[in-house]
Amino acid sequence: MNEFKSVWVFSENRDLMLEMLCKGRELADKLQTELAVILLGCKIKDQAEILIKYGADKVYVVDDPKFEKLQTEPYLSALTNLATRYRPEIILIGSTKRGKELAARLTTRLETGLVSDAFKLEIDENKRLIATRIVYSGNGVATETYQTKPQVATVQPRTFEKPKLMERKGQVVEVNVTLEEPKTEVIEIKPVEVKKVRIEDARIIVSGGRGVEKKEDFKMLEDLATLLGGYVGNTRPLAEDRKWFSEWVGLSGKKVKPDLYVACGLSGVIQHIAGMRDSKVIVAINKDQEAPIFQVADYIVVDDIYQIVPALTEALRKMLKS
Amino acid sequence: MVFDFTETETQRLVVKSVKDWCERNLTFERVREMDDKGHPFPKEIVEGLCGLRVVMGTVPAEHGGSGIDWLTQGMIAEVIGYYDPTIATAAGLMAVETGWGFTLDRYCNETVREKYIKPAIRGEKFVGIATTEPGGGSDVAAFKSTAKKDGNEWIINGEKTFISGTEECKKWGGGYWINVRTGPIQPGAPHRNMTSFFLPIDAEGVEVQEPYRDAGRMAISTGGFKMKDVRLPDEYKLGEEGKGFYYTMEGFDNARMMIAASCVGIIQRIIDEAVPYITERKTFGRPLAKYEAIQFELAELYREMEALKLMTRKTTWMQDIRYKEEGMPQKISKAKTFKPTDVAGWISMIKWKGPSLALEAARKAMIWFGAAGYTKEYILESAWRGVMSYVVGAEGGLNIQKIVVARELLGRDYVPYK
Amino acid sequence: MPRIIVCLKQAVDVNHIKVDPTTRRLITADAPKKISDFDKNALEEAVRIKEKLQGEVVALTVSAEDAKTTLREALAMGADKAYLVTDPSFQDSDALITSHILAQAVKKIGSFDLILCGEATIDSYSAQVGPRLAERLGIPVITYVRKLSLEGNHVIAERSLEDRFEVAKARMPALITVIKEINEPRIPSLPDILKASKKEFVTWSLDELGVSKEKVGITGSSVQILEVLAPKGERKQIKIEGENPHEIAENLAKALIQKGFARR
Repeated sequence: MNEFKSVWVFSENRDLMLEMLCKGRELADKLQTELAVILLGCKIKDQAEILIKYGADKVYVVDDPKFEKLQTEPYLSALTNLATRYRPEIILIGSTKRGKELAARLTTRLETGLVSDAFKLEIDENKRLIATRIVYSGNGVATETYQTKPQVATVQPRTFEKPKLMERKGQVVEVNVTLEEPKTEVIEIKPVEVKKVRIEDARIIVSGGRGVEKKEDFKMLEDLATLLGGYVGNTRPLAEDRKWFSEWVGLSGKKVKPDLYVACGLSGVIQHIAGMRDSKVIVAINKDQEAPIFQVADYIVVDDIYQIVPALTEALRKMLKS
Repeated sequence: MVFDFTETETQRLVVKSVKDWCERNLTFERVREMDDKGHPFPKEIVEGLCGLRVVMGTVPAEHGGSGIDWLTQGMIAEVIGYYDPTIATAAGLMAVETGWGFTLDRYCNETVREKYIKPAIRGEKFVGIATTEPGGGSDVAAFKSTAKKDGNEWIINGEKTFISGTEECKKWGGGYWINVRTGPIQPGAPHRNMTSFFLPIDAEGVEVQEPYRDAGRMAISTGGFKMKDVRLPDEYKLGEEGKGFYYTMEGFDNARMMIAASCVGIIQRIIDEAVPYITERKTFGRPLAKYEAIQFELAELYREMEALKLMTRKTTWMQDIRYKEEGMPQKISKAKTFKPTDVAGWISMIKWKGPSLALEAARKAMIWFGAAGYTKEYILESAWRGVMSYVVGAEGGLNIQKIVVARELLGRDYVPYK
Repeated sequence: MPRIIVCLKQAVDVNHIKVDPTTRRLITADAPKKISDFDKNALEEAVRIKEKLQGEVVALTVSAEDAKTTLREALAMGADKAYLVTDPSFQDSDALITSHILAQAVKKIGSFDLILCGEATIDSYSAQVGPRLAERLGIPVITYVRKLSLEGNHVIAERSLEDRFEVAKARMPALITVIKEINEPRIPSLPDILKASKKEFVTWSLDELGVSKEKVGITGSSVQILEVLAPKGERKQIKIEGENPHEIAENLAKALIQKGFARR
């Protein structure tokens, strides 16, 4: 039987696919093998070339109208067929809800292991894939590996950086696969209910805790957030005890991972930290130098938010003007 | 193995259900709101807990209850005390309704059961206890209310005071177990000629007084009522004429067990609130918990709580054996394993220990917390105010429990009131 | 009258996990266990269907032996019968293996119309077992369901996806994974609990399911957990200082601008 080789990337979500392509390139280079994108869809052939410029060595294209409705079975049969035929060593699948179901079913058909929502992927000295993921609702980080191949992992959006466009060469392979009919029928599609800004989507969050004495004082946080092009967030006690807000950042509330999280007057109880720990950069401003939030902060300001926050907004405004 | 402290699967699941319910409905914020707002007690809390069928759970299934034992009922009271450390919920639903309601069910007839007890078990009406009179509570000789037979009816006159739940009873419907004299006071035996009745709150001639302004357990009212020529049919009499004192002592026993059990929960809650505070809060560079003055007190409190828990569970277990042996209704002559006075001694010990220990726990924790402990940001002050009601007198004051225990040790010749 | 199998996992209550301060290893052994949250939603939904259409609800767990009380709670919530597959050899099995054991158990239980699972479990949150089980049984699966109804031989389910809601229809038997939004699980009453102690409770070992012991546990699993540690804060911990609040604010502003924030 052929040896397992090459690293594959698949997602029905294009941004996610590109992000995984970047990580996939790194893994393929380590293993000195090729990186392939599986491109499944309807009238998508023309999108293949650019994927090579984003780092793929090969693009397997299955172009079929059956993919149009985004139902799992056509994708599942295409991937099963290709994986059985070409035997990849690693498959990265985009962890959308559709992708998660697909990955679980694919790996059952291939009788292999799957690590869900890996945020770190490495190759060990035995050339095995080492995948790291969050477990126990953020209380643990599990490092896992595989005893079978292909080694499959799903990857959540915004876990890895998008690759840069490069001039490079590769191969586009069109494949014919007989696709399975869906086992379910989609009888209605409804739009996502309109909500106000989803804090999960905010790139910058300025968050307040119990150190904010009055609801009106959130104005100074809003000013800072607006200047930075972000949104304001808050802790659970402000929502549940003081009833100022209907939602909050935390274990029991919204989990966020913005590029910048400015924690103002919040002590950082473990439940809150579990909801924002993955933020790229954390700034903490608190009077109490023992506040646990400082332990997860990149920038620490031990001072009164009523002094610092307006001054920070002012300073930023001046610097941006000049 | 006779001594086995393992909880049964049923007990674990019942405790879990009550915990899960309290997690959703008796949150810190809710309890604080109840305590701030004051009575009447929120009906949805009553309906929710009654929906789990844990209020008056010891009433036999054929009478509309769940037929569980006192040991399990005590564990339920522990949970309720934990989630509402102001003790209002435990006072209203465990001590009064469960302790007294169960006993009431044993001596009432079918009319009272159908009209009042079953609806109370379902959370629709309120049944309570009204023994204390302006002249005194524990001193039965001072009772002045009377009932006179008139054909098939009784005419009742008198006054009851410091009664739990008068506003709730008035609002939801229901009534009270009352004790009245149906004959003259006998010298040296003031407890004779006392007869118990069930008094519907809306009976003609009942005049409910304005409730008191209590210091604590604000969510449930304390009031009183006057009875002026109230006519009650004979079927509202409880048990036999002249036996009211004994029934009342039995009711006290059951209510006191519930209070002690809820105090176990309150103390556990105080400990659970205190541990994170004293480990996180620093003074002079060290967490409070590093100071022996504080950690030794915590350790002692924990030891005492565990002692109270064991004593309370043993007491409810004894009461279960007693009820099993004595059958329905209670026949004292049939008791085998324990004399009724043995059980009464244990009940007095836990009623004595429970509220005073809970008060002490709240007081100590407030001092550890400093000024913060004195604020409404923490549950401590509400527990401190609430449990005090059971130290000063509700369900029998502190000193009366000591008399009961001493009486068991020294004999009746040494009771101070003779 | 549908026959519904609900797969339940006994999960560690994640709020009570402690960390060994020196090794950063998680101490999960003394944390209390419970029915995993979304699995409870699945059970609740099954019981609601039964209350509407009659039928039978069967609770199925693959777990250590201490799952008995957990399954008893499922019976108190309204399941009619409970099956516990327990065997010391399958500790640390991955989802590939767990779904295999579950599939064998489902086959032994016999005919069914629906299998309900939670979208994922609160401890591992991998969302694999439901779809894997459906694949092994060769039945349709609808994941992330927030509304569910039965019509004749079909199940109609509204899926909550990132970009839209999808109402999907499948022929039964089918497997559905539900999300928290679908319902609020009931809390069993005292009489429910007392009744549950009389309901049928079946325990199976792997032998009884015809599953070989070599094929389960760490040896049989495809994914192997190397270690589970508490997350460590790899943070810069730069203290921003200054003579007065204005200076501190200016220094912080400089740092943020340097990092690329605050650029329009």
